[in-house]
Amino acid sequence: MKRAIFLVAAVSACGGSRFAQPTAGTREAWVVPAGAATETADAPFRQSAPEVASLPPRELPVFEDSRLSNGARIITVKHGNLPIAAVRVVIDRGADQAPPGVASFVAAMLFAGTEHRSSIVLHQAFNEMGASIDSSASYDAITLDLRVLRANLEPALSRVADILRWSTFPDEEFDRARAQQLTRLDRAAAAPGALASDTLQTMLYPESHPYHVALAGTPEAIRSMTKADVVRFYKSYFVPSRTTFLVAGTFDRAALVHRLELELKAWTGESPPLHQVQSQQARPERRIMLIDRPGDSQSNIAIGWRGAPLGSEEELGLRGLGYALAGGIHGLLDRNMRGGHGMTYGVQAQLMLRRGPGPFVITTAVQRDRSGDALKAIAQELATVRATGLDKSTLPSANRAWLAFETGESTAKSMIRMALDGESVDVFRARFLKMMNVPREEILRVAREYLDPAAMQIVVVGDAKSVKPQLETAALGAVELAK
Amino acid sequence: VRLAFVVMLGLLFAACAPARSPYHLDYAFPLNIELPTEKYRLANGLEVILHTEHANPLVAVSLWYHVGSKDDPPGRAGMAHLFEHLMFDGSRHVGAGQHEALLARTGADNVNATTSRDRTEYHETVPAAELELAFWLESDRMAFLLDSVNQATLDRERAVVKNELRLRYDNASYGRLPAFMYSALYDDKHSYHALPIGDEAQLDAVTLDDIRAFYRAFYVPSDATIVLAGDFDPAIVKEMIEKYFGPIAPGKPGIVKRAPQPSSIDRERRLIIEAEVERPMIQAMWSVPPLFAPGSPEIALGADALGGIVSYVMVKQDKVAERVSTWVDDGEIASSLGLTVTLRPEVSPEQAMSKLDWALDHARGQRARFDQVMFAINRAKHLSSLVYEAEELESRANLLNRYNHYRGSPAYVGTELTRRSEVTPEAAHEALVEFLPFNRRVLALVTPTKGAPRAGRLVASR
Repeated sequence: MKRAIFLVAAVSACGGSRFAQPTAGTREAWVVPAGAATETADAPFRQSAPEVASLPPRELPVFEDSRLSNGARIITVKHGNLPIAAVRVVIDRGADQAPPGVASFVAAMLFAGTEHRSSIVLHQAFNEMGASIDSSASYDAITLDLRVLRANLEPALSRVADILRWSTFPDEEFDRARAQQLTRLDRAAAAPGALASDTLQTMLYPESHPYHVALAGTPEAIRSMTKADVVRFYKSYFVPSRTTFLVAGTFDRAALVHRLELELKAWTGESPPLHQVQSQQARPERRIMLIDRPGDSQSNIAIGWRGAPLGSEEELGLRGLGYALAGGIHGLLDRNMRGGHGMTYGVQAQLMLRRGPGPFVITTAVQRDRSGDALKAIAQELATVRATGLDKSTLPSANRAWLAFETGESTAKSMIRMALDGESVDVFRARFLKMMNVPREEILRVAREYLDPAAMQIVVVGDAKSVKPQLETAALGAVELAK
Repeated sequence: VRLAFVVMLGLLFAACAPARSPYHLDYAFPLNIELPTEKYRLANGLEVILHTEHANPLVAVSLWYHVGSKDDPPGRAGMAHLFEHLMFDGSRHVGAGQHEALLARTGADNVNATTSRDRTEYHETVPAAELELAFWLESDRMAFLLDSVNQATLDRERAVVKNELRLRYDNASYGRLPAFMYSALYDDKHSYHALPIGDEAQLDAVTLDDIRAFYRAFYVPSDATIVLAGDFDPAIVKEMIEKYFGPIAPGKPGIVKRAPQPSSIDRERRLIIEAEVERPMIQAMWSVPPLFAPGSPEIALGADALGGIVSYVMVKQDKVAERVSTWVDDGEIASSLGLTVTLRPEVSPEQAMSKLDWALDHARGQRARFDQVMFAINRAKHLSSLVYEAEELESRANLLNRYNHYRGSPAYVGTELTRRSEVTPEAAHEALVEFLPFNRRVLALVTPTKGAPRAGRLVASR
């Protein structure tokens, strides 16, 4: 201790603070001359919004699609002017093929070390290249995302190739990952929004269905998981035929392909037969579940139905419906609950995109004493939409879709559909163009077919003493109380 | 131990001369990205900054009013932020809800606003051909907002803001910690005493007259800057800006606080907090130099190194903590450095405090622990993150506004890259020693307690 104090004294003796220079100025102030006008005069051009201009037609980006000699796919797009590239590596299978939590665990451990590099060496290398890396699991796939300076794209990809082929999941890292995963689950259970959404999934899907359990798994599943489970998933699905590299940015395609070919040409393997996810199942009856959190000042609400699978005709209609209800910047539920009544800070509605019929979910957090009103407002908006459909002002503008290609990162991410089940560039392009103009009748049709009040599942996380009577008054059915 | 001490001394003397890190990385860095801009003022004082980028037919609009929660009137904490909400409820020619509706119809996105301690920013990304609509909307609320402000809109937005307060703070685990920490670090005379969100009682106190006075004082063209980044023709756009914003009256600007205001804390403050959470926690906070002031980049990199050392000691070596994170909350009149240690469930914060102090001593005393390689790597991360930040148009426009607000010039990205690249481990270490003394810090010790609010309650403060 003493020694440390001595050092501190010595440092400050080095000629005073090096930081004590005067602060350089911030933005300069502007002095309004005396007698300047204080009221702005009105003008004719301000009376109404300027005419909506007609936009010049746009072309989709050019996707260059090829395969490495081992079968792995590589799709690239030239994008932007900055010297950077975004890479998304997709392994075309995820949590729907594995016991609960395993796929998330594999994703969480992708940077834990390989036959050639320890976790620390991998992280240092990526950081040193100025690369940002991330990995995640969905029910459909494992993804590894990389953002890197163009100059360092090739060495970064060589590390990625190492991870894809030679990950070892070392014991010590496995134990650490398990502890972290358990902490994450604890945190999710303590976060009312996550608790509501996770509970909703258990009500929408039977126990035998992979979507019954949250992606991160359950504490029991994580505690009993073995390294063998993780390695089995890795060996089964990290194979060339299930791997796609999506790359967007400024780079030399030939050099990129050459590097991947060099790193991966000896990589082989095939995956076992797939478990098919059931898609046709009886709809659940309406249920209302209340989870008691005494003292909560807000109620977190999650409402859901089973939706339609990715790639189906109904997918586009349900996405448009989600946008119209509360997916964009001016949704119907937002207007009602926030803009009309101020009962919430926000509400969201969307189809969760999955290979099987993912849930269509509405979530919000409302002040405790408006919990019943919130459910009534949602039920009423849904009834109106199902009865009369949507007016034009609620539909997404076709232009909005182009934002998917604004950055290299968003471009690489929005290309993921092509990496699932080997979708071709042509099919992807056709669906993208179709998505921009989903007919109103189609949205009305899916709203009637899917958002059936009789099959609606409702979860409310909040203070039961205050909330239960409100839910009963809302008269949507019997309220089950969970602890 | 003796050898380490000699090494430390050696480094100590080296640090008295402006040394460069001996370690150079093997990988390339673009230290020369440029974001060229044209900046000018209209006759009414409005600042305009134009930056063209033709990669996509989009334009990002970023409009900063240089007023933030630091300018909240006394007894009205949360006023600047509440005001921001009212800006979306229509103005003389724009009906309620029309701002978002009209933009949504064109396919715009990123339509939102944020309020910080220093400024309030409004933004939207629009298809290039729809830029005029954004000018029409922004100029109308800059000039004619009060026509549509009434008791009903105020009450509704106040309710929305209170729900935001509940969502982010009152109903979240550890949610009240920031309010406790900032109010202890910055006394009630300091402009950063309260959080931008404010509190229920002060939000309730806001009247329509307060709103009107705030608008007249601070929402004036001379205290605003509009940045456009994207695909447009500057000649056409300048004419449009003159048409929509030029005629707006200069008004009578109020006084916006800008001078540096260090924390007056002169001892250690310790807050004892109970919360119904799974894990105990220690949080520490210090007041450090304002953003871009001398010492600011050193602190940013020093915070990373500090986090690494504390994590090594408490997570890996002593196994009392699960996670350690550090952050710097940058500000115009002061910045704040925070350290959060999430403890293992069985560890008490009081027990862990001695380990934390040992780790802090270690970080402050032994510069040998500032691993040169790790430091250079962290620095590389800081440099590249700035390049990524410039990619999305909205983020780029915001970056230009940030440079203009804090440095008086949008052309600062090159300087910032250079400044970051020149920080040495020695300088970062000196910054920690100088700005993170034990006797000018706030500590929060959170003990899991059944029946306490999840957000936390303050049971003692000393």
